[in-house]
Amino acid sequence: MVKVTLKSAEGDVFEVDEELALESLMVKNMIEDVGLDSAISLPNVSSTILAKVIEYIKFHMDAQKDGSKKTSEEIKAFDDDFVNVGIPTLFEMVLASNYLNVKSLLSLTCNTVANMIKTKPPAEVKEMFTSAKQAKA
Amino acid sequence: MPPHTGLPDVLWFYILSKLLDVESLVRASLVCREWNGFVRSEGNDIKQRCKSPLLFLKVELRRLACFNPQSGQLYDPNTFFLPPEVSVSLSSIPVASSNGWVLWRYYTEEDMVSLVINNPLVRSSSVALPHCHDVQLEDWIQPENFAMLAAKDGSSFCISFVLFGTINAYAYTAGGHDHDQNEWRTVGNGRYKGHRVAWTNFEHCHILGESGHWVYKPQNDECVLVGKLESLEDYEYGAFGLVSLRGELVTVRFMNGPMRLSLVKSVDGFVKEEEKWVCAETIPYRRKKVFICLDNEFHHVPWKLTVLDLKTGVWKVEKLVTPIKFKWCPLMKETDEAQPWPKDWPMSHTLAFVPNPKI
Repeated sequence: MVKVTLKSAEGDVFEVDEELALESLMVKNMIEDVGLDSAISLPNVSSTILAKVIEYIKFHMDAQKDGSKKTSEEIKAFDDDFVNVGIPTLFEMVLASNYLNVKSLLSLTCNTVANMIKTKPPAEVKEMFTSAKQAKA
Repeated sequence: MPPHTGLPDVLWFYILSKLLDVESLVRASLVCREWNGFVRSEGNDIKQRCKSPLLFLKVELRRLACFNPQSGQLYDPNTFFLPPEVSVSLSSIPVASSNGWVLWRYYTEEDMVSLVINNPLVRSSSVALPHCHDVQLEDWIQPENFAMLAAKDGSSFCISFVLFGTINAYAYTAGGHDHDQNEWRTVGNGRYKGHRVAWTNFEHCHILGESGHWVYKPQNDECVLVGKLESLEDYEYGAFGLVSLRGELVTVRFMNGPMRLSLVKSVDGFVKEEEKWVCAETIPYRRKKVFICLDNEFHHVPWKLTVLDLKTGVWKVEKLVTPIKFKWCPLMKETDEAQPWPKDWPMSHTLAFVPNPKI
């Protein structure tokens, strides 16, 4: 199995299967451009978030494989748990999935933010996201 | 600080595009200027859904009912929402409505007259207006002195009212922090006693009365006389109603019984009226609030609950279908003790119209 080396913003190295790496259209394009000889540098993604993205892709790849016994309920439970994080982390995942161009993860994280907006009055939305920004800072 | 600083606009807009219901979109449009702009440009389904039949809010003392005036269908009071402020005051009433948004007059715990706007079909849509410093304790501003224009998505609205001959005007844009926005302006300094106000669009507030036809523009805070009167008696004592219909001004007046509607234009510096319709019914009360709802209906509420159909220039009068019994929603939180509206209090100002996106 061909391996791809991904390097996070902090310089941490993640070695993943090529099949998994290609789920990111951004990484796929870089591999096509520069090949597999050197590590793919991802300066906009922290190690923590990159590990989460890899976890997400790996779970869904496994779930889609022939012979996978994962039910749709289990997949949903994984997704729910996956995005059950604080708003700053959620925002980082939105940004990372957008940067890495992982459409399913971008859709999942954005839906989660949208659901937070749905039930709250404007002032609370403003407060919630402003607090998240300050917490991140 | 706007809430969107954690993500670029393009991602926020992607997130907002996932809000597929009217209520969420309306609320989102109130969060900040950028979201408002996005919802207004992309959230067209709000406008589509808001073209539905009307609801009719009827308020009596401490109670509010809601029904469809065309079918008489009653709505469960729990399916519409009131601003929390109105539960404080015994005499909270809707004084104007536009595009589904209702302007409520209420009294604070300190007996101060205050205003709040909301869409009764959208939870948490209230926007409380800042106190207008010209309004003193116990000033009782009659509903016919209010005028309002609201965008369907609630992202902007203009409000004005006449008090002791002075116009107080307020222009609001969601998330707006410009110098000219979101604060009360006073116009006329007592000159406009007995005058009526109407907004034909967000840039023009028309003031009509014994001193002529004036146009106030909130953007540059100027008020200009555009038409002098040829006959003072037309508007004497404010004995007429003024509404905006398809961007034009319409006066409503009772001529020794029958009600007359006229288009108002200022030509060559003089006010001209073009009579459009006369209602044969004798309507004794001359100064009550009148409403125009949608583009093809005129509602005249006092006494007879009359609807005028303006479609294609053919005018007809229909009766509203009024439910025999209202289901009342208590306005006061602490009690559902319902009291009848005092007989000597005219009821015409206790109504508002709301396009119902759920029908």
